[in-house]
Amino acid sequence: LIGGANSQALNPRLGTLTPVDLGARDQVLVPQTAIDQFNPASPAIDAYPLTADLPAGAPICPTWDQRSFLRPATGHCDLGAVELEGLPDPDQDGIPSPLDTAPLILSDDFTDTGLFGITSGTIVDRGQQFVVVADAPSLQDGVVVTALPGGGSVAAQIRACNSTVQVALLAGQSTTITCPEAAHSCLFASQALTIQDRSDAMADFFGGSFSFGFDMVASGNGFSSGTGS
Amino acid sequence: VIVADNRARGHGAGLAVYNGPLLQLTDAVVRDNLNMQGLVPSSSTSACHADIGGGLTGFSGGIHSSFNARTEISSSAIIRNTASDGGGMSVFGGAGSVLTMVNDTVSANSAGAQAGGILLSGVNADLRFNTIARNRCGFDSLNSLQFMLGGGISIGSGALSAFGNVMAANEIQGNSGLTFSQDCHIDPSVVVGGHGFNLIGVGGRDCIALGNPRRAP
Repeated sequence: LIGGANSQALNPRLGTLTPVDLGARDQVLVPQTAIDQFNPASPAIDAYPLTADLPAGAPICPTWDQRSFLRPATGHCDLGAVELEGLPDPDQDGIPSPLDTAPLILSDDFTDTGLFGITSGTIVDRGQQFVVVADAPSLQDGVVVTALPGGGSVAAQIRACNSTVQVALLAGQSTTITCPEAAHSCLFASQALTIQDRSDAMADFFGGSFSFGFDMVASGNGFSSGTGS
Repeated sequence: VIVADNRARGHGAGLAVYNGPLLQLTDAVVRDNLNMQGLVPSSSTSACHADIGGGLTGFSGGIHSSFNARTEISSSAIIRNTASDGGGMSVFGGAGSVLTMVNDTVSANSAGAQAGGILLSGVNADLRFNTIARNRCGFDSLNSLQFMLGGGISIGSGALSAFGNVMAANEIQGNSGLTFSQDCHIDPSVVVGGHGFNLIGVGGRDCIALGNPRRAP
């Protein structure tokens, strides 16, 4: 994104610094949204490519912005130090404040009860992953757990829905967990998902798709999405 | 950490660190530091309009990092500092010196001559997702364009990698009122490495290589 000559300098459409003596998380220039045709949105918004589209050598965007707001794990990041639509995560545990049940102690617990859902769980072990938790978009109930690209080889372990769901995530993998129906949809076929059903049977699934019902001991040979109770 | 309202004659009115292994700042505010002698400009007006008569004394109003092996600044604000060169900060180094800046805001800084925001020399700089905007320089250079370089950032030597930054709305403003936009000055000797997806306000000769001519898909 480059402006032209001096007279056609690209307007970044940024807000102003706060005049009061606040900390670094408040001293930012926030990109502005569109007001009308004469005041368009800042060209910095959503201008960084998706991870899959990044050219070789280009870094993924940082997990947090200057304000300690989460940058999108799977969407476009904003250019500059501020992620306009990011969610606050002041303790930088990867769980935005609305989902973080115990932010002061850097809890790994999450729930969407404050966002009209009933899904809850815990990041049991982050492994070597950068785990981000967010409310599931377009779903009243549900939480999206993502291991950002750039993590190591040790998977993160997530347990949810009163331990009836156990998920292992490697870098770049993501899953949506909704507790009422123990429904899960996985975005990557290579993802390893372990579901413990109510007969305490455990099953591992890799690739493919299946569904199972109450007390079924699933021995399916694949998984990409499914529902069960 | 807040480093604020300091006055000095020399290098780094707010903070100066020399010859160390590491200078690291996170969640810091470095603001309103003034590296000059003579008239202090009113806080309500730009330092560009102050008649300071050559009173500036050294590099950097905010942070001066000199020949440290590593300088790492993240999630910090460097704002409203003033100096002769490098209004917000200056980093000088030798072989192997590294500067990393991530998620920083560098704004409203002023320099008498070059580099309203950031002055770099001899370091391998890696800039990611910083906002470098509304800095000014040149107010004490008697309108000699030779010394009015880099409203936002000026790099005299070293190497640069830059992704995801906003460098825009920076200006050069001479003491006779001559004003034009210039976001960065990069000396031809600087080795420009990985770069792209930066928002550059003015695609002049020096900056154009850092941006990306199309919006990200």
